[in-house]
Amino acid sequence: MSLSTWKQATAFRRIVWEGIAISGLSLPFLIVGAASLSSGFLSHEHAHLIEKALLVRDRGRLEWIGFAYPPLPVLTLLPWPTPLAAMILASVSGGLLAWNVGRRLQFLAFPPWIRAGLLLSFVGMPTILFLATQRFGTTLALVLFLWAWQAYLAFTRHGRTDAGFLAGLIIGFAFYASFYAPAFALAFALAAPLFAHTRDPRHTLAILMVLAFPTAMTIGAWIYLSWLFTEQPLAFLYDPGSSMLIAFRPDEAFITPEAMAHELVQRLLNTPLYLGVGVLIARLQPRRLPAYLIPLLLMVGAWSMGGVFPRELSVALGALFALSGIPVRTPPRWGILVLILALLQLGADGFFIHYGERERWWAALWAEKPSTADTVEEEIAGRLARLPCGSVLADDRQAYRLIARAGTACPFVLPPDPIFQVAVSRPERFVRWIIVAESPRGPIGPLEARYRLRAPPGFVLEASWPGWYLYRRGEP
Amino acid sequence: MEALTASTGPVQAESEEGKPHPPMRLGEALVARGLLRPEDLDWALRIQAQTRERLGQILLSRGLVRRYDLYQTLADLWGVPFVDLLQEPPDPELLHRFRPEEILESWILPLRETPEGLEIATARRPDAALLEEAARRFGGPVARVRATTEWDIRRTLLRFFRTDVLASATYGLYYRRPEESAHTVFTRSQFFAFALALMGTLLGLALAPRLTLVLLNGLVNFFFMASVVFKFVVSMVGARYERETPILEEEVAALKDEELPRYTILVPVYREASVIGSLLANLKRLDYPPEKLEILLLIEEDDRETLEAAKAARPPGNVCFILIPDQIPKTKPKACNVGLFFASGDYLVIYDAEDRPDPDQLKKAVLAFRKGGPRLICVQAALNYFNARENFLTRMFTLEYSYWFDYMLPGLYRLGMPIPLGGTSNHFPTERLRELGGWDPFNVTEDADLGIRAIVEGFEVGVIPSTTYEEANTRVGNWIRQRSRWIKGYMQTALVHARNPWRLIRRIGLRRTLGFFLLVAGTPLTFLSAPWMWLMFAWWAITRTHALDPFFPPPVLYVSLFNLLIGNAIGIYLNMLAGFKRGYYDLIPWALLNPIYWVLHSIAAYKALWQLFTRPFYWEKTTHGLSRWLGDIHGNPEEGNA
Repeated sequence: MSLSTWKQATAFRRIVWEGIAISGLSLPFLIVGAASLSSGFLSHEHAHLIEKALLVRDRGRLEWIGFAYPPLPVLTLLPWPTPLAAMILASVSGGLLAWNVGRRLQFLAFPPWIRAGLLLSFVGMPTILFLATQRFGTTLALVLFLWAWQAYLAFTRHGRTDAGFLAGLIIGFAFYASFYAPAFALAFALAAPLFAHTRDPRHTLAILMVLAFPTAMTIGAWIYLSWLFTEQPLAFLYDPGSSMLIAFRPDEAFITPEAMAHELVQRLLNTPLYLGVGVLIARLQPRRLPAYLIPLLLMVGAWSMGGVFPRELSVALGALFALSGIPVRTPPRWGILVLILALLQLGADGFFIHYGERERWWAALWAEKPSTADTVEEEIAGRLARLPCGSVLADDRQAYRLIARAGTACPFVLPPDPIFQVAVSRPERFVRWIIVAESPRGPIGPLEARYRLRAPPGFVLEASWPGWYLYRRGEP
Repeated sequence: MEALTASTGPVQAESEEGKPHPPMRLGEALVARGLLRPEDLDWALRIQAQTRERLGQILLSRGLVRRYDLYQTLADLWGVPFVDLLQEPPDPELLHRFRPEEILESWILPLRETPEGLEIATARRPDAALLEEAARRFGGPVARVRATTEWDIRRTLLRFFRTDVLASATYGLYYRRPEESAHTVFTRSQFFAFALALMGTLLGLALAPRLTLVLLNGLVNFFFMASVVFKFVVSMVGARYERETPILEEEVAALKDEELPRYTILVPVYREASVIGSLLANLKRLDYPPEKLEILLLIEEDDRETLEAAKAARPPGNVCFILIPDQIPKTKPKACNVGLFFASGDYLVIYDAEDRPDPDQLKKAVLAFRKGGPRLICVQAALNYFNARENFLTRMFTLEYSYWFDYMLPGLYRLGMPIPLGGTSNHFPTERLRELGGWDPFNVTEDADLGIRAIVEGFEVGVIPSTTYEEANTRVGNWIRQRSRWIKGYMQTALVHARNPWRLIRRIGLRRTLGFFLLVAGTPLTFLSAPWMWLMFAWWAITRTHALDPFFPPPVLYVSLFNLLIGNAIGIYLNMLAGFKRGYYDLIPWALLNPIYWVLHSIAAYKALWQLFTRPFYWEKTTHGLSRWLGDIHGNPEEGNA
């Protein structure tokens, strides 16, 4: 065997082993995801992504992506926009995440069983299980954040220029998976001088540019695309149907410092491993501490500006930063302490699970039969899916779950369709059915504003479910 | 070269007692004649102990003795008369019976035939071996030997074999491998293919204008995207290995002078009298034993000014002027081919007149060749600019060059892709370069062509971690002239190597062929197509017209949006990369102004395209010596970049 053939064979074997490892680590997520699916649970994020992918697929033009933020998970779902595909992709992303954590843990001098325990504690965290089965977009963003973080460290600590550029590109690209990516880019850029051993302000400025430029460009490109295709350049910021920021607001915008401090303390208590590793870093590598605090700073920053920082994101970031940040020089005897902290975190995460969508998911996981809400959605979706193309007027800012469950966007006339506005004004001329939400979430759109309380002229109520009315055009 | 042997002569002097004196050595003879100071001789002998080089060569290269005096002395020591070949030229008829290469190889020049045998002139010690060699080479016994200098032998050869040398330098490649020469701009099949494509396009425009324009638009956009992605991948690979240096400083320091091979430096100059002084100063800074250097200054015959300046600079004896016969094409590669003809070093490098190579560059090249396999034909040093911060143009040019030489070329090297060589600082084993056929004088980027030809012929091209600092163009007009030549050369190179694409794929593989096309053909095509895309975008942005909509069906639209939004951003981003390796951090923000710089590229590309049809072999001369910084920087060229 020649040297090059041997190298190729080795590289191939490595790829196969890595594939097996990632698949193995994805397995717990796949099992939990399958259980969630069998219980009829569909997360808001997956419903949103699937609906946008269906819209792009069924309208046949990729530029409809302009209506779908974040576009990266939507594009990934495009070939197969179903809850099962979303779950599988989320699980594989979770596997990738865990594999990256595992790779980092290998550098530690801890005994193998401690490293394995740390990895399992990560995979078994309810928050991670939730994200890696129900939040494909967020998990994908976390994978990108982690890669960017690893590249960033290689750049700032080892001076690898290619890693710096990759970090910039990955974090810039991550904007297409998460609205929080620019904040990370900014944090990376601002923390870089602490790492890079330079006192040259020109060098600092250059690093800032390298880390921030791709993000500026990806945001600019998205604004341009939004303007080009929707004439609303900043729609992704405020459109409830398009923005992850507002559509899934988990009622946690903190205004008063007291409320903020209370939530902060609660979240820190939720992540004892993050706290413990923080102490380790402060002791062994104090220069790295500011960068380690990036998730915390981002959270406080987001709250201070009236934004939200979902709890599951903060927990996941805390766990990731902690497991990826354990100093390599940590003495092996401290491994047991770190493992105890990790197990404590696992317990705390299970204990604090009772909030928002995660609580419903947890309940669905253990329930013997699907919830009433899920059954109703399935029933409406099944009925709408059978209707002819372009016959149902709906606003996907409210009806995205129905469309996602229907598995087709074909029957619907939706806000991105050019006739939507005129169809809302004169529905009898354009559609045969109208589906209206009784109690819309977020800002009320024109459809619900007009027909939430009374039937459209010329339409009769065909059916109603808790929260929904289906009107049919009366035959002349 | 055996020319300068400090040994005993065949004739020994006798003492007053009638006993023969011990044979006089060259150094002693020079001191005895007052041509050399004793302390200089001691110093030169110490150098000789380190380098094992011939004393005469040491004295000449260090400027301690004049060539004429040295050879006069040697002639006396050898016991043969000295001949001035200008006064007593050889018999042309006799000379033309032999190949000039043969004469150069042996440094023996047949002067004339006498009834007793041949009369020869030589720059070597006329011992029995030489006589035997002369008899073997020239087919007759040697009756008389005369001493001359190697300089005179070169000059005589160029005088008597002017046509042959010129023909070899100009048409050597064309005669040997016409398919590899740019002498024919378009081959018949290429002409036919282009005509067919043109007619097909016209026919398409007449019959199905929309479809034709969509196809053209799609083709341009897809190519643009492929080119951007290719450059991104290559430069990231280059950056990945940025810190892996194939040659360590310790290895350079460990090199012993006596082990070093002889090196020929070719310096083609044309109308560059003003920089001759700094050129010699820069070459003097090279950390290489001068006695192992042969510097051939290639001066065009009609450029008396530069010749006079060179003479006035009184260069040391290892600098030799070669007058390049005045004939079309008057190009640098033709001059270099003449230089290659006369080169006697084991290795050879080209520098431009204003170049400031890193002092250890030659040693690094020697190490690279030692480490490289037998197929390694060339190593390219990085080029950069000493006047980077002079103005906008020099800043952009420096960013571009830093990106190209610090990331792109190492990336190409790592990926095993063809490397288009830069204009200077290419190092070759002399014989292998001759084997390859030298430079193509009809190609105006002969260096890029040579790099590709080397790969096609199965050789390897590498890079070395050393830099040559040049003068960046400071004026737009001058820059466009230079760039249009480069782009025209890329067009020529692409045309030459695309004459038989199947053969190219067979010889270098599909991956390398694609790399070659994306790089060498892609560069001009990108700059030619970019203005059309900018114009369309500007027209649409200003008027919001829908007239262009039919020409952007979804796939074309997506790709063109990728090019607009991502491609341009990557182009700028990659240029930011350029500043890191050398610590040019203050230049990095200037990368944002790249779009302006690209406009200049496109102007140059259209000029190049025009010239490809009207004056394909015309060498757009770049004027050097314009920088305000030329006079300021002495010593370390990086001072200018501090």
